[in-house]
Amino acid sequence: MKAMSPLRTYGLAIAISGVGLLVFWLVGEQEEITVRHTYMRLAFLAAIAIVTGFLIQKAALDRAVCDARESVERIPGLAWIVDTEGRLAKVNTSLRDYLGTGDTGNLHCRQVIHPEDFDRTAGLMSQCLENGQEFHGAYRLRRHDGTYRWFRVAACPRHDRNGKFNGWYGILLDIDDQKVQEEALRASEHSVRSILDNIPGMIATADSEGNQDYANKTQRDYFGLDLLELSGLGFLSIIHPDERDSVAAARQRCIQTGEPMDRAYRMRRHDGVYRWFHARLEPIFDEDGKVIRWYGLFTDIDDLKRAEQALEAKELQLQRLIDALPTLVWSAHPDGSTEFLSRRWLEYTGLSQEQASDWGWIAAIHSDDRDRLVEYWRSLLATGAPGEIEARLRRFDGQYRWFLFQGEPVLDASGIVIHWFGSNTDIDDRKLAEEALRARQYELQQLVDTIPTLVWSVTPEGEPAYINKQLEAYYGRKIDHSEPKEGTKLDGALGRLMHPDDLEAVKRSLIHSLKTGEPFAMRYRNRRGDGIYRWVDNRAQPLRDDDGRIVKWYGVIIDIDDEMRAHDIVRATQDKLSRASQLASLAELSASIAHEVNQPLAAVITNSHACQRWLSADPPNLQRARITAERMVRDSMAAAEVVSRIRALFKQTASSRTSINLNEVISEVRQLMFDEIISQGIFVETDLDAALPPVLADRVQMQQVLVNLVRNGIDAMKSTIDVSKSLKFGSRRHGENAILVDVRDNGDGIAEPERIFDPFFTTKAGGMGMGLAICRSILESHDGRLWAENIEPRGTMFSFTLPIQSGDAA
Amino acid sequence: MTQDDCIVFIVDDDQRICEALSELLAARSLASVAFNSIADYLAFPRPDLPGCLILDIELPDINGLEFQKQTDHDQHPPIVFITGHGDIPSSVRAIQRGAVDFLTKPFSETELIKSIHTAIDRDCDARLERAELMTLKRRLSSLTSRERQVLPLVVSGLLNKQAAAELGISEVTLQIHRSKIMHKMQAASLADLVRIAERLQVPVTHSRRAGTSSK
Repeated sequence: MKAMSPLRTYGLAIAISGVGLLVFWLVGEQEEITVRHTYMRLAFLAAIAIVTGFLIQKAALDRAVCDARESVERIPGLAWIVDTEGRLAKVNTSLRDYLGTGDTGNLHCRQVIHPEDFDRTAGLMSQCLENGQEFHGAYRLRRHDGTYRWFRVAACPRHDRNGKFNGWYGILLDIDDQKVQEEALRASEHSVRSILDNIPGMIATADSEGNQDYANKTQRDYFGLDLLELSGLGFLSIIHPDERDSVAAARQRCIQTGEPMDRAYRMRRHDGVYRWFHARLEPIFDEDGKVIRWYGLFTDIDDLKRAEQALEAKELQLQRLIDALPTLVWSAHPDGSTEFLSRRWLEYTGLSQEQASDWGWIAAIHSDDRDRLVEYWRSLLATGAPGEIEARLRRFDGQYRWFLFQGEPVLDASGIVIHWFGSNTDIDDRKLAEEALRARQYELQQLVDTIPTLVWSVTPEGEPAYINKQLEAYYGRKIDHSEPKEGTKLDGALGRLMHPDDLEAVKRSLIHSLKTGEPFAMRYRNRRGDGIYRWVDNRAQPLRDDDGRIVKWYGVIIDIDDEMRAHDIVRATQDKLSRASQLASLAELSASIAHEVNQPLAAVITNSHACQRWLSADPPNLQRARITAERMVRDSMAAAEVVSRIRALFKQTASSRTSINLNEVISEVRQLMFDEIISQGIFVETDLDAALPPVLADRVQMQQVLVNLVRNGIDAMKSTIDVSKSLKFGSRRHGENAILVDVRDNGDGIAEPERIFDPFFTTKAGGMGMGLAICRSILESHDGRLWAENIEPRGTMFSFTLPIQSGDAA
Repeated sequence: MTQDDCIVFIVDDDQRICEALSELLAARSLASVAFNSIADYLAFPRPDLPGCLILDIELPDINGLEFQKQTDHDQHPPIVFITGHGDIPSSVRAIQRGAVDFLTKPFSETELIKSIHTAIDRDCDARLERAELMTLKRRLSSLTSRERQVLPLVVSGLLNKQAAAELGISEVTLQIHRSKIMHKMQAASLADLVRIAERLQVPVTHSRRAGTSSK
């Protein structure tokens, strides 16, 4: 409501007082005339007052209107009055100039306001009208030259006395320049924002209290959160739990002190993955030094961090490795001075890093070893070659222990030494063990050299490795390692030391053993240092490592010459007595038969010659002739007796049957045939049933059978050269009431396994074909059976059965 | 050759052979003694007569061939081997060692008798030879020790002067020794003496030319 002008107030007051006076006159008519006169004067005065009041009032009003009009004209902006129809009822001069039109009475607002702004403005104005509010807004107004300029508008509705709306009073302020600036600013801000949103880093701003008020798009997208969620303490929820508290504390401190923050921590990505970020918060201060805002930049350093962590882990691991190595590790400069010493090194020596630096470590070396070590170390430095040396290193407690010092140069690309890496390994225990071992070895050596037997060893390849003192003395020579290699040394040694007749067999057997790893055992004649051949028994066993590989062969030689001779004598006698029945091959048997028969025949013939002489003498000496004739009869009878004895031998009477164990017989036969078996280089195996029951048989005949079978086997293998010859004896129980013995060879086998038992069937040039026939007849006479069969992969097996002695079988 | 001036020794472990051989030799008028073993034969005091040894090879104490190998030829008469089963190598060895023959039983009478005679003839020669040698040895043993020193020098062909110088005696003394040697050794000439010395195996120790020991 406008304040009333003083002129109008004054006019109004006169008018009111005029009215009062009039009223007072009217009332005064009932009074006395004087009084009435008075009242009349007064009424007159009142009328004058009223008229004057009204005049004053009107003058004031006109003046006010005039003032108003003038003041409107004088406003340094544009002013207008719009009627209810939207027409420009009145405009001031400035506006008129602006619009460039003289008559504005019929100009509608629609014609001057920018079409884009009109509807909006009209809407707003009608809204304001309803609410009884003033209108404030902005729109573009067309200038006289047709261009539009922005104006700020302020208008209030105009009501008549009845309160009826009859138009708008408004003023316009040109804000076009400002608007343009604003636009430019907005565009610039938009561009900045878009830069901020698109740079591949996270940017945030916060107020002085640290409440985040901006987060760029990268950040929002990264966390999948909006600004609201990040503000306040919301950001803590995305920090890794391990770092949350420390970050919160740091942030608090920064806010309090205004110091920038610079740290790395993990933050959770929208998919729940934590990644390392480098967060950098910088404050902006006002002139008083108070923090206004915080600016933050978060950089993803996860990959870097991981690489760093990996490196750290690696370094840590390396460090741990160095510390864990049960050895003292060091490195040195090319000039030999210390570069690095491992923790263990320092702990062991008790020296500090400073004490050991440069060449200080020398102090820990035993004084006896020091010069040698330093000299050696300098030589390595000079040549740049790796090396190792043993020396004593002092422990922290003053005790010296033996160490192996090893140094290795590290070269750069051009081959120049840039570092030396080295280790010192404690070999004290080993050294002690070595000493002990040496002592033990010495003791063993003494033992081996002292025991009264001949000991030797050869390498797996058969090279002589060692012979003990006794053997040296026996041979009268030392083992010569420097001998030139013609063939093998073994060949040379064997050739010198062995009887030529035995050499081949021994060599074959030895080579067989070396090849197969089977123990070597042989009797042969050895040449002693004095040139005398003596029988020895040589046995060797291989020493194998854990993998079963042969490391060495060890053997002992026992001089059995005296025994052999004694044995020979016994055997010669035995042979003489029992050759025909026990041992004889058929050739020998036939020779014996011939001898037995020839002897009486020779006597008969000689006697017949003598008889002829006596008869043809002159005179005939009948007396002597008769004697010789008698002798002829006697000797002929003797010859016949021999023949029948031989037949009896073949018939095998059961006179001398005793309870015998066939295993024993087998071992006797092996003994009897030992020489022959060995000289043929045959390897004998046995697979004998230890619980073999005894049989009732003629021991000599059983020997004879086995000897024959062995001979057959040996003969069958005569031409065998491609495989090692072997003869295998087996014995076992055969059913309830019998035992079975077999003899296998790996010779060529036989064409007709059944025919070989026929008398006079032979495959041998010198044979008579009786041996196997006799064997079969012997076994049949014992109620046993003998047969032969070829076996796989090669060879023949002769088997025979014998009934178990009835007492045992029951 | 008469039946009395020779003797045949038979060694065979088979008594029947001994008997038969003795009988046959008796029928042939040859004296014989039979033994069943070498030991028996060696124990027998053999008459000093030319003879023959019929030796079986298979003998209980020692093999006949082995016996032949071990014994001194001069001690026993020549050997005729008889054997039940002879083989060629042992017969060859036996012959090489001086056996007269090697007969395989049963042998023929002719063969045996021929061998026996060969053996006895050989033994006669050997005995004669041995007898001569014995005589010479006896003569050699009659020399004084100085004469035994002189003998090798003389048979070496040294001049008296050289021989005397060698022994450090006068030439005259040497000549005396020399003539005594000639006499004692019953040498007809120096050549005879040289031959005798050779048979006695007196060593020729010096050479006239060199004058010094040169063998």
